[in-house]
Amino acid sequence: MIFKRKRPGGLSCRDVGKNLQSYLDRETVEPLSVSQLEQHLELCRQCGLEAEVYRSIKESLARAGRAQDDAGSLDRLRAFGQKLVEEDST
Amino acid sequence: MGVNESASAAFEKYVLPEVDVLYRVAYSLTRNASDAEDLVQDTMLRAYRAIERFDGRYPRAWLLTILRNAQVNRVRRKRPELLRDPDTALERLRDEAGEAGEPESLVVDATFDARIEQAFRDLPDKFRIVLEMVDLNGLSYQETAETLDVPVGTIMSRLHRARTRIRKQLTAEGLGPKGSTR
Repeated sequence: MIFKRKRPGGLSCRDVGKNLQSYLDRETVEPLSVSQLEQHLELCRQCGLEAEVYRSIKESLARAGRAQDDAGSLDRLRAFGQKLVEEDST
Repeated sequence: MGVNESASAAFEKYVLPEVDVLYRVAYSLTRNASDAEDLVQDTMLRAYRAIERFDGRYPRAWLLTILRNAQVNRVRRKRPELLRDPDTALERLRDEAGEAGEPESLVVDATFDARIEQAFRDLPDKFRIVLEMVDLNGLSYQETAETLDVPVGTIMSRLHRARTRIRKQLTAEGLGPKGSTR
């Protein structure tokens, strides 16, 4: 018996899986369209869950990145840059 | 004066907004706050001297290339034998620098974040540095490729493998859904 596989958003889960990381990173997913891909993620439970897990990992790492910023260093560097601008202008 | 004014305006427009990203990338490469600060200062000075020749396109990529060259020079001064392969050199430098300090916890779900962080630390260096550039520092694939001097395709495959490993680790600890780990 031949089953007709469902293709939410007109895409296979395989195509979505191959482009999921690029999509989450806001990189190009060509030749797929972002709206097709989003439709698939909405309708396909497995892919939707997969996207959710990777999105959570990404967000968690972004929090770790912000947490390790050294406020003192950043302030000094901004001031250093500003000084270069001002010295140049005078 | 006109020339100075435009150079100064260009520096303000293109360089200053990127200081935070430059610092994060520098920290990833040096593993040390004061070295990172020195590296970004060096980068800003080089950018300042070169700003009149910069065409205004892709300022972040331009600055990251300057930063990378500045870092290569620093490594060369410290460890001349590491320079044959900058990619490996950076990885070895990271090895030698050891583990970074624990980021402060300002988390929504401390357990989840702690597990992710552990899985992240457990990654081989060449995977971790790519993930660090993209997810912690917010660089694009192209910018990461420029910074690490590795092709974009390699960046994408390392990123994919790094995340798959973290995903598998989470699943093994019962924190993620079962099923495929593509």
